[in-house]
Amino acid sequence: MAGGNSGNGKAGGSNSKAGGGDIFQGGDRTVHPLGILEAIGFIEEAYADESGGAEIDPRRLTTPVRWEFMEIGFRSSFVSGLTAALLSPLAIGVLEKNVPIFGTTNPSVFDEACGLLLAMIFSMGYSIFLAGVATKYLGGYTRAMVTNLLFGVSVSSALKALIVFLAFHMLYFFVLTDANVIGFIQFLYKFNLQYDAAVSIFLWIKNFKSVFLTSAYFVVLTSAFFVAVPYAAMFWAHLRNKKLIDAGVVNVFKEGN
Amino acid sequence: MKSSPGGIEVINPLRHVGEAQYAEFWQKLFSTVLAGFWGHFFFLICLGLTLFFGVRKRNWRLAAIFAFIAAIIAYGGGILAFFKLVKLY
Repeated sequence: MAGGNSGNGKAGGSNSKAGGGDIFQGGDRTVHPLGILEAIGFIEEAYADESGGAEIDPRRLTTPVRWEFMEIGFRSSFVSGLTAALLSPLAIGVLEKNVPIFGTTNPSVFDEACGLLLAMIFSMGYSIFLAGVATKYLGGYTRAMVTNLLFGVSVSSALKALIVFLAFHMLYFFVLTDANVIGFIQFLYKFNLQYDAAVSIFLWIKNFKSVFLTSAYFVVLTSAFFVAVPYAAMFWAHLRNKKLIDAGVVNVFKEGN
Repeated sequence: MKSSPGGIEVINPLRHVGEAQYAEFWQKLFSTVLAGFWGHFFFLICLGLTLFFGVRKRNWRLAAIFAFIAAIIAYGGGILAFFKLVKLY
């Protein structure tokens, strides 16, 4: 780990403040995150070092390592984002009174809020989690770690939103056509489906399918919002850092030091 | 209700209560957990635990399990009612 206390550097536990900051030379461990928690661990360690007075050259974070942070950000948010996106048609179905929640198709405002909350809980939790990580940067080294991680998350969210947007539109226009639904119901007749049940299934699908269009836009909007939250936290951290650096409380690496 | 249960049959609930009473117990349990005040209460507890384990404890497996339970509480009643397995209201 680059920010470790060992090695030939003078950083780590150094208490030096502005004007007397130590220049970090390197540590025993190399930064090589394999998962999101490990990546966050590296960020937190380096942040602790920078807060303690270490001046770490951002160029120490080499291109392959930056790429690893990006890749981890991408991988970690893609699957969770996709599962969350699949819950949105249910939430929108609740709002449009097509899907029962708590056993009723006539939900109260609170029930509707519960449906929306459930659809957004993955994205919301992950967004709050990343917002916490995004504030743990001080100098260029930790900033590079955080920005690369968040860039991976942003790309994965955009890709997820695009895939879900296209998939939901395809479901509406090509899969859930009247001809396909009638074909499906005729297939169910083989299992002795009652006529009344067949009609109600047909009508339910006909009413429900518009939910996919609303959900497609809902997923795009929520993805954009939940990506914006960590960036907002990072902006807040930027203002905080600026104050700390201007006041001389902390010292960060500058070119030519 | 049958008398003098013995052996493994002692754990058969129908040895101790009537069939209608036993079915009513499950009906009441599902309608309590999947709807009404307690349905909402358990749902919110599960969502809270999802956030707690996901954000605070960083244990995403537990967070996913609680989110899944919350989804079952929210939508399970509708599914069971659709198949006419329980009457929630």
